[in-house]
Amino acid sequence: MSTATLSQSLGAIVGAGNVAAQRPRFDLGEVPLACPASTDEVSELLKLATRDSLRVIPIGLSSKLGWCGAPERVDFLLSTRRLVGAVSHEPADGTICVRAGETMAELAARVERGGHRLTPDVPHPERCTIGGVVAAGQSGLDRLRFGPVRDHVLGMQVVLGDGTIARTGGQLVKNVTGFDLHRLYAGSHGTLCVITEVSLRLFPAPEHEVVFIAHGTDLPRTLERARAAFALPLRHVSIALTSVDSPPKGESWALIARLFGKRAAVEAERTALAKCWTPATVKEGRGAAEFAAGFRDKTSFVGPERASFSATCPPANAAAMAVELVRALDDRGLERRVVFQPFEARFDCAAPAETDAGQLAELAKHARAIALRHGGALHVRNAPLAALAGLDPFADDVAGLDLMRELKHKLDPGGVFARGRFVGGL
Amino acid sequence: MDDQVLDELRAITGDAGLLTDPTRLLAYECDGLALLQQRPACVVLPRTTEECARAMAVLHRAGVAVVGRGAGTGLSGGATPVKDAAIVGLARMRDILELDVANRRARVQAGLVNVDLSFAAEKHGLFYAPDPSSQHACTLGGNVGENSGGPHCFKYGSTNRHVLGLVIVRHDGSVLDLSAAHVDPLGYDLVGLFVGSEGMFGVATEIVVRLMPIQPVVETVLAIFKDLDGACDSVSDVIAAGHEPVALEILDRLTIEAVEASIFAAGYPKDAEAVLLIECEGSEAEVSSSLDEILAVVKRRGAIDVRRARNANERKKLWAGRKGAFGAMGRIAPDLYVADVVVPRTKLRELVLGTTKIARERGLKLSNVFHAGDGNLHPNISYDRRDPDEVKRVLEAGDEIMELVVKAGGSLTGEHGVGLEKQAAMTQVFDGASLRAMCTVRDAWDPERRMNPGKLIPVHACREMRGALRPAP
Repeated sequence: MSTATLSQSLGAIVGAGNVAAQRPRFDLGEVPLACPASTDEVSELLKLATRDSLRVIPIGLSSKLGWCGAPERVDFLLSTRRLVGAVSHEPADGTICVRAGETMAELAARVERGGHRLTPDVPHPERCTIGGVVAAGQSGLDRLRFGPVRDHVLGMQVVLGDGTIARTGGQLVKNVTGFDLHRLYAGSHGTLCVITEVSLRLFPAPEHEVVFIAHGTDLPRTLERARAAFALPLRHVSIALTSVDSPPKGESWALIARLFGKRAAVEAERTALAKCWTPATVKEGRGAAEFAAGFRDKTSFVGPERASFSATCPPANAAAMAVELVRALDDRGLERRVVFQPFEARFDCAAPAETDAGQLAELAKHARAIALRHGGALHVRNAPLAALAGLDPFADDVAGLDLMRELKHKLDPGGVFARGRFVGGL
Repeated sequence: MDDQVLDELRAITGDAGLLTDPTRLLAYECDGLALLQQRPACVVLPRTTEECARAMAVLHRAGVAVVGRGAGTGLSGGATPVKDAAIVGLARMRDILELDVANRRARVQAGLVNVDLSFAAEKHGLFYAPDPSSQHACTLGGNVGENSGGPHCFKYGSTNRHVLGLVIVRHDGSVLDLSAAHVDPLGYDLVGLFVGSEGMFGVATEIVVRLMPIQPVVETVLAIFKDLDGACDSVSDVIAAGHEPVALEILDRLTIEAVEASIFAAGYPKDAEAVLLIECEGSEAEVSSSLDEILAVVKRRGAIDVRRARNANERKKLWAGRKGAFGAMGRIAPDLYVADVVVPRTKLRELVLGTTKIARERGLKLSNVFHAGDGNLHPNISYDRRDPDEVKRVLEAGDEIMELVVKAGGSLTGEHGVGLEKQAAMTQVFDGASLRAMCTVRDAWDPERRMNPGKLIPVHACREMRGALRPAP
């Protein structure tokens, strides 16, 4: 089917004005982007794909398209960006069911009006949708307090490859009715279904907020300060280390801790942390929130312009893994652009802009070997196609891959959702 | 069951690991839902993953249905056998394989009793958070099967949030090792999907769980009410005001009477219509500020007295009453039907009233003890199973309670699972397409549908064999 004919068919479902040509990553050429406005339209698009054996990639605002590998084939992109608004918002119950195309920024504002705070606190919330965040299993810097996003998804409405509309879970904070298929769909990167609605648990909006910023000359010593803070009986929202672009007085690492909650509790925690971290810059209230948002956005490494690595491992090995990964950058004379969350055992690092595909591939393999040696894993994001040759962006070896393939085969027998993007070529 | 199959199983597990004597099989006819019973063909009790895998391979070749079983404390008939099935029990798999203090994790065999893990972790300042009322008997494997909860899951979440890895023996005896416990799943979240699958995807033999640090300050308070409405409204207000206690549990008058007459007597006032058990933990400042505000709410909602546990012993006693409540119900009648529904937390009062009315209209004795903070109601009906008419009324009331709750935006089960009991009611919550998606996923795990057949998915959605005693809807 020619692109023009396909665009016409898609336009017949979503309206001609809601189909555009898009050039996705990986030199795949131009493909149509269809933006349905309802779950029924999503279903119709997928029925069309099934009928005509087309391959589809579901996206929100495509901020994480580069987190996956190159598809074997794609015929059109399906964006949920027009599926916006709350289906049901129950502030007194602390839950919301929202359409998948709502941006994280819009959703955060919506739940804030109901007296709540949204987790995960992801970078550039205006550039990504809740559906995309859930589909990618994206965590925020607030994971230390709140855990991964999959823990807070209460239910979903999804559309399967053949156009079937199905639900899982509900909009209740506790519920074990039926299999938790939303656990399967969360983090599946659009390889099993299109997520059209998400129900989430919400958390109380903090009354007060404090951010501490300290500096360190080297990673091990900065980590010692982080450990001292973590050992205090505080409800940390996040503790992160980041490399400093222009270090003052040789202080090449910044250490940032965030606390929030009920005012009295935060005040007491502030006092305790101040005793532990001297000297440190302390920001409070709105200033703290603004600083935290700015820092969060700086950690994104999102965008096609820069590849990045996200390494994780068991917490006890995190410090050693981070030291080795930093050394790997330094040994190659590469610029450091690093965010390390030691107690979530996550090390994110942007590959230097000047790195060519060959260097990038070599660095990725080396960094993955380090992560594996520490019992962890390494995800390569936004890498150009040339750098991914022979490299699975997620992992080289995955337990349960045969079962995953069977799940994919059963749920998407027509292979509508483009293959080759997720781990093991799923 | 074929003698050759039994011989093969015996060769794997030894004589002590295979039960075929009809008298011993009696204990395996049902779980905590004694209304539904079926004797299994045999019970296999492996000691290791390897033994379990070999036994499952034998059962696979023989085409025998398999029902996994922890301690049999489940309340939805999830571990009730189907005819000619083999039970694979976890009773001889109770070891803690690794207590990894540095990573706050433990790797255990699936038959480990829930509370034993917290006992072992306590000296390291850690504990395992999900704490079902049956935690002194139930196993972590059973908890994984049902995605079990407990009072402290209000803050910490149910089992799913605490399971990091699993070793699973699949329908054909193959071993799926997902115990690497990565920070995020590599690929699809098979571990998250398995938890709560009610034994229909395989048998978990080893579990890697997250341990939590014991908090420096814990305060437990008993708020006493002259009416149940005030207790329910207090909880709705506490949630709406954004407080985050660890637990919010309500017991009504009938429950209090039963508890106080039992060995679990906790000093609950017998003239109260309801008590609300509140627990807060964290730093001193956090607990003290939060508790002050919560107590202001409960007083506004009519609490006539508030008793604060002064030490760990008093706290333990208050909780012993709550956790022993189901056992104490034996003083009211020989049998107990424990309903388990979940409702929006804004509708606690309305739905507690509704469930009470349903029981009263049928002349049944209903008591309430529930995880109010999660909206997880347990309307408990005391009855005598030797009275067929009363059994019929209990089942009718159970069905009507589920219907009432679903219509109000609630769901069938908060922590006990669907099992046999709620299988037919699944169509009230999910349409055919959604149930078919569940069948599809189940078929990927177990294409022969031999793992715990006849549970969870209603017959007409998946052409399942019907195991329940009640008629099809």
